[in-house]
Amino acid sequence: LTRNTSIYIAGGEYSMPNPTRAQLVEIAECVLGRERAAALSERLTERARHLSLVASADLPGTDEPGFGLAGLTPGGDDRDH
Amino acid sequence: MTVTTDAVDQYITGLSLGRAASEARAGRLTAADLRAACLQRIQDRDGELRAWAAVDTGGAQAAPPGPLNGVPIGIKDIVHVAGLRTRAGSRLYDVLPDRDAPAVARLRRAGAVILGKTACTEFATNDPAPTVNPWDASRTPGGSSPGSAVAVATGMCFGTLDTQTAGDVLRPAAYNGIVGFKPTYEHVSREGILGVAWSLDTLGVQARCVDDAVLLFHYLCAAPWRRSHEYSHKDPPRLGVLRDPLFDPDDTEMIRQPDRVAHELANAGAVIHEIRAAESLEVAHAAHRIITFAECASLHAEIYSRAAAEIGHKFRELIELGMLTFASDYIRAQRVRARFARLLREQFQRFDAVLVPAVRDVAPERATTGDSTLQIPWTLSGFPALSLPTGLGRDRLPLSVQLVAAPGADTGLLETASWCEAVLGLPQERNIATTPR
Repeated sequence: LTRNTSIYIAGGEYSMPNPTRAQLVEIAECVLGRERAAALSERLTERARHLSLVASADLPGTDEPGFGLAGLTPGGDDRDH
Repeated sequence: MTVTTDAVDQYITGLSLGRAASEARAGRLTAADLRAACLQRIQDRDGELRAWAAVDTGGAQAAPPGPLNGVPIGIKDIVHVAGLRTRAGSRLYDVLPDRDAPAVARLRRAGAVILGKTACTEFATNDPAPTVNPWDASRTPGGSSPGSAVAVATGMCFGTLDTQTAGDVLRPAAYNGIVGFKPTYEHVSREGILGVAWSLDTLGVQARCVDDAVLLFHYLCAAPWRRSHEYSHKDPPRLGVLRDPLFDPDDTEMIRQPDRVAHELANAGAVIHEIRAAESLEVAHAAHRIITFAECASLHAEIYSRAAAEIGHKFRELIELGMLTFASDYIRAQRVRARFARLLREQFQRFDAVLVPAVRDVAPERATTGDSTLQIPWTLSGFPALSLPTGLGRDRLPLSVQLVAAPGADTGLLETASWCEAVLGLPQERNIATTPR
């Protein structure tokens, strides 16, 4: 895999709700290189757990009230509330 | 009896922000007195404590017009102040802003004097800053706003303007025995700050008592407010005490503070209900991490590509974990966040405030900035949250409890916190601002 193009293929391949730690390590090696992937080893275990928890959560339906677009754009204006 | 200059400075820097402003308004103190006392305190203690990134020693001596009457405050060094360099705790960032962030401008218009920029962790993330915890130099002062917490706790200024992405206001406040307040998300303008994660970053304040936080919040966002004596007779509040597996095991004094405090508040008339979170706090924590990593990587991609090897290793890890986050996971985390916020808002609206532990334990060793796990759910949901000092623990280190309310209920939360503070008292021992060196 090359860093700039094929990673999108890997992205598609691994974009599953609940990647394993081994899959995360493989992605990290592709994106960041072997040395940095090793440096992140402990954090990737933690990350796999984060993804697993979020994957297991119920999601709001499209007809439920949510955050809307609030917070999804950079910036923030100077309005009063 | 001779009153020395030192004693006068000691007296001044031990005042609350509100009292300092009223003394200046009454003409018993001048803006120059307040400024000189703070500068003297900085000269005496900052060589050791390193709370300041920059001090504006050449600022105007006259009181600026406005109800705060020249009270000196500090601004976290990721918030832009006209004419003072923003360095964000990093040697890789150095900007000289030509205008104030809107939040800073509001405080200035209210009559505050900007004394300087307080030290923060690198880019307001997790690599420890050089700031020293005044209660115990072997412990962390917290992050990412340690300079502000230490400056307020030791009387170097009367209050500070800070930012929170995870637990960056409440955690240092808890470790240093002062009040930290994070308003509802976007209640205070985020313009003019160097962000960490834009959908989470929230401006907040640190102060020595709740009334001082009320004052600062009032001038920051023009919120409706009342002075504490005007609501001291309000009915005792209805409080929830939240139970959640995230707080287990309950093996520290800090974790047990909500129960201890609830007992004392109930004796004063508060109505207490135990509740369980309608949605898992652990899942909320996980969603927060995914969102933080992705947004931080997006905001700091340029500095990473330019100088990855030169930035702190925790900041670097944060960006790299963001680079490994798929868009679908980020969006999923935002959807989980929306559900969490909706379910807990419905639950929290039934209470004036909900009591939760502020942090898992007293300040840990200096190698970290502490644990933000227990502040994260409220930053994720955008709910207002406040850490309230509750005295000193066995190790003579500050203890705190966290009060949280439904979004938009900021004023009610502050009123409730003020009621709780009045019941719990302001033990002198918790405030080291008046401690001579």
